[in-house]
Amino acid sequence: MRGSSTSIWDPETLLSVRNIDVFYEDFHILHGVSLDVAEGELVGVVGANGHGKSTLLKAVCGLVPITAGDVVYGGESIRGAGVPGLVARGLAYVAEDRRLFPDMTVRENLLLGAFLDRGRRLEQESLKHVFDLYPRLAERQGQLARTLSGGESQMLALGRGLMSAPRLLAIDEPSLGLAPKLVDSMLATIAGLKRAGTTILLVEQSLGLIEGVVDRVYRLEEGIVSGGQARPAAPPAAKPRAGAAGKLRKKRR
Amino acid sequence: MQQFFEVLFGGIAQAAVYSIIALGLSLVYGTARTLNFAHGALYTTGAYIAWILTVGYFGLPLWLAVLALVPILFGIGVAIERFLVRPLRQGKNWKMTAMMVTLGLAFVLDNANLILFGAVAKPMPAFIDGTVSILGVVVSSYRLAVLIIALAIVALLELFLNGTRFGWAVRAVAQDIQGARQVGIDVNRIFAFTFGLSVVLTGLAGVLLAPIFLISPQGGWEPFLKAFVIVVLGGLGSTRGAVAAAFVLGLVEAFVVYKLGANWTMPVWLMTLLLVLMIRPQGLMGSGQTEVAG
Repeated sequence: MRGSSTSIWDPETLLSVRNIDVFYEDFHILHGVSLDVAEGELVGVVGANGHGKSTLLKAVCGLVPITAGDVVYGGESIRGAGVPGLVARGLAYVAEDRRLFPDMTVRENLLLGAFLDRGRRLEQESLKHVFDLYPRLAERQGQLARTLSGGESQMLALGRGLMSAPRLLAIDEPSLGLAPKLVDSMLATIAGLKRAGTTILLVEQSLGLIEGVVDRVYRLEEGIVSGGQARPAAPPAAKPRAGAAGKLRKKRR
Repeated sequence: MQQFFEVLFGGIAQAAVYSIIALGLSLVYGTARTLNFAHGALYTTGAYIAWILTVGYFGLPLWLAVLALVPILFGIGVAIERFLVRPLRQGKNWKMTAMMVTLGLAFVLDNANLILFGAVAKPMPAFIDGTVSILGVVVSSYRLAVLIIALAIVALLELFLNGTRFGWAVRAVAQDIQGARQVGIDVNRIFAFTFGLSVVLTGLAGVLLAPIFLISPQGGWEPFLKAFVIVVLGGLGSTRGAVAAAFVLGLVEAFVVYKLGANWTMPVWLMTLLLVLMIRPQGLMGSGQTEVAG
């Protein structure tokens, strides 16, 4: 069974968070959090606001420092590696608050997503891919990001993440501020990315929202992680996972 | 009328140089999120270094001196960011601390210049003498050259910011630091680079205006104050706003000098600033956004 931080290295595991502690100023946000994500998996992390979900993703992506523990990605420790180094290795973070460049056009925002060599090599292909995914962004490529609607902003945030040619995409509450209909299509898009081979770590507030698309779910409560067992017969799963007999905990807060 | 056009031209030429000083200030404010109070002292320092390299000691031709000056100024700017500003960045209220530190640096530079060069202003010869006549208006060749050089610098900067990948990264950091980090931009490198670039801009402005105003240890404060008014009028952090504001205020200055006398320049500038900020608190081209946290 996956999920133990002391397990022997599994070549299929792309990301392994091992017992990390994260502080924000004097607040102890994450307490010994561990989780694993295998290559090609779509793993969810759910929990209420303020319980450390965003902090967990930011810590994994190098945006906030880790006080104790380790993060292993692609077989090597990436603790303290610095964000540019992580993006260069294919680890991309899509922020819940979008973090677009408001006074740049949609196209400029996307091209900046391919700022490092890794993304730049595939710049034109990625741009075409994003525009195929979201024809809306293609229509508005000359428009300033600040003039986009909430749904379009989320498309652009995800599109910018894709421009870096990510191997693992960490997506932080993509549903935030979206109408229910848009949330559905957003999740369908994320499931599509997973089918196309991108490994995804997805954070959301409610399990109900992402239940249908994820392979496994961890719960994060007051900075402590639990769960992570494989779901039985997840519909969009690419292949059956070892030990897929575990049951998903459905207890709601 | 002839005299008015001469004053007007002088105002435009000067505005172009102010816009370079203001651009440097605005770039640093926009990206590194702090004001550099040593900007004026660095304007003077740039002029003094050019003076040492040319007429003062080494006797280099001006173009060669400028070629040597640019990397020196850039290095000074990078060092200020790396060793004076960056270590403060972790602390609480770091912006205020950083401003105080740069203010301290301004006094250190001013007094070092006073000790090294004395209180008597140093003259700097202009590289062109004489006058030219444009549409019947007689203007000094040097002021025309200054205008052209300053406009060329502004154009190059625009080209750099909009047409190069590194320039895009500078704009990205100005618009959202976390967003810039997310796409893999090394923001510390951008901070250091913009500090370097801003010192190059203010130092070159010091060299350009030296033949007109001479070089004196306290001489940087007035351009700094003017650049500050320009930056606020244009919208903090907006480079295009700074250029627009420089020209608005340059023209205002020309009218004031012509009608009221040079002493009224600053009061009228500040009244213009007050009026604009009453109508547009974010400045001419400011985004009106509140500060984005890093």
